[in-house]
Amino acid sequence: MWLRALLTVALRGPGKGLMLASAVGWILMAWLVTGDRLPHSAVSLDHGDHAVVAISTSLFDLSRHFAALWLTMILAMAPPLLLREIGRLWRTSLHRLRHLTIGWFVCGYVGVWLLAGLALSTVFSWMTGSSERIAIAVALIALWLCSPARQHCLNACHRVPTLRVFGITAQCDALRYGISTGCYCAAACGVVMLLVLLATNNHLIVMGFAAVVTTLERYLPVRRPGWQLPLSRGSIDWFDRGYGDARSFRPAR
Amino acid sequence: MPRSDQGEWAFTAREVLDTTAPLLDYRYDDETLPVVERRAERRMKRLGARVDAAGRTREDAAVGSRKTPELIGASDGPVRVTGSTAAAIRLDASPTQALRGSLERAAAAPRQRTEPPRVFLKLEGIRGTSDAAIYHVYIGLPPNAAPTDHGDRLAGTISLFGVSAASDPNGPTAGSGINQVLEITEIVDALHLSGDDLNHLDVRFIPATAAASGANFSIGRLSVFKLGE
Repeated sequence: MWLRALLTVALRGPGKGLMLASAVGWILMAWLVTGDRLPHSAVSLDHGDHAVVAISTSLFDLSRHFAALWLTMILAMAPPLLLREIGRLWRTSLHRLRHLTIGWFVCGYVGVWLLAGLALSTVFSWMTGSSERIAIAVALIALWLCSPARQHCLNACHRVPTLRVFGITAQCDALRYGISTGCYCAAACGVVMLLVLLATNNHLIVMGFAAVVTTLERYLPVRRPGWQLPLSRGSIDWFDRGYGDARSFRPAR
Repeated sequence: MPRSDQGEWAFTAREVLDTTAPLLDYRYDDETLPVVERRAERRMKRLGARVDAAGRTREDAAVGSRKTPELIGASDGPVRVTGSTAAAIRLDASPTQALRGSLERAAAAPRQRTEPPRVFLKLEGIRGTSDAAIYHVYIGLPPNAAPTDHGDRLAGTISLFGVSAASDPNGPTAGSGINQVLEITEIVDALHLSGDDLNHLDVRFIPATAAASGANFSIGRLSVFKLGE
């Protein structure tokens, strides 16, 4: 039932355009990571600390490669995450202002992710300095993925803001909506991108897996924040009961 | 089921289908089916169009059809409701002009077959803690008029049941509140026929009960949608 609901949302209104944009992103990504266009595809993690050095030099020695890679990753992975938000803007904006409103939203969202990319590249450069650092970083990332704070961010992605309709205030609201969505999205899923960047072999497959997991998590019903594994048993139960089913919510005692 | 003589009656559905059977034994005075005029035809007559049996109006914009509602106006910001509260909805010029054109064409055409767009009021993001509050929503009430004298301007009644859970940031809707939709087609038709230019709609919230007067809740946005062309 939830899959049908998701497909219904995906294929109506601007959903088709978003899925097309995502497909273009994946094709571009495949083109970038195959062959010799980016040097990182040639390195592997088979040689201990030498491999760590290989990762850091291959992916981030050339900043222009990082910018291209990061923008392409956003294009590939973000559209399925934004089906609900852009669909909402499409339906609840005046017909003559729809594209402008969505444009401002996208500017805010992508802007936040570009800043997140800069921050993550700095963290990535630090963590690839030694295998100990990688271990510490991976442990911290795992802790964050299970934390109540992250669930709070995922819940916030469900929140519908009040958007004004007329004039410049409508565009300001759309920009603000894009920024807030981008912030919660980057907070919830940004560190997953670090794990994706760590994978030098089969990068595209790891990225695809991360995209599926983050998209599924994004459309799970709201859960009360607590320490829990991503896509844990509780989440799956909620999925089985139906997408967005309010009965699955149990208030705190 | 308890019986009047203190006993109990266990029955199956098959046993209560015939009301003249011994255990039930009653008959309705009048069992003729009421003739209900179709909504679209009733509307077209009200607008002044001639409708006959051969030219039945298509209910093109029926709810559940694949047509997408189009936003044509909204309030300028959130509305806080405490007791009797007034609010205004600004309507966008271009789609409203198209709506008025449709209504005028429907009235002018001798045998209009397509119903003009239907109009809906959506109360988005109702947040608060007053789960028991019930409010009447009126559209286009004359200034200082008593709502009870203008039953034709009653868009509907909203219940805030479940609003506190829906306002919880970690609740089932992540604090987005609840939404309510009321059809206001007849009221908009009446305003159009009375010569209103439909630049804006005045909305008035009236507590349905004395207890609801003390309720305090906010509505993120009042939106007006049209459904159909």
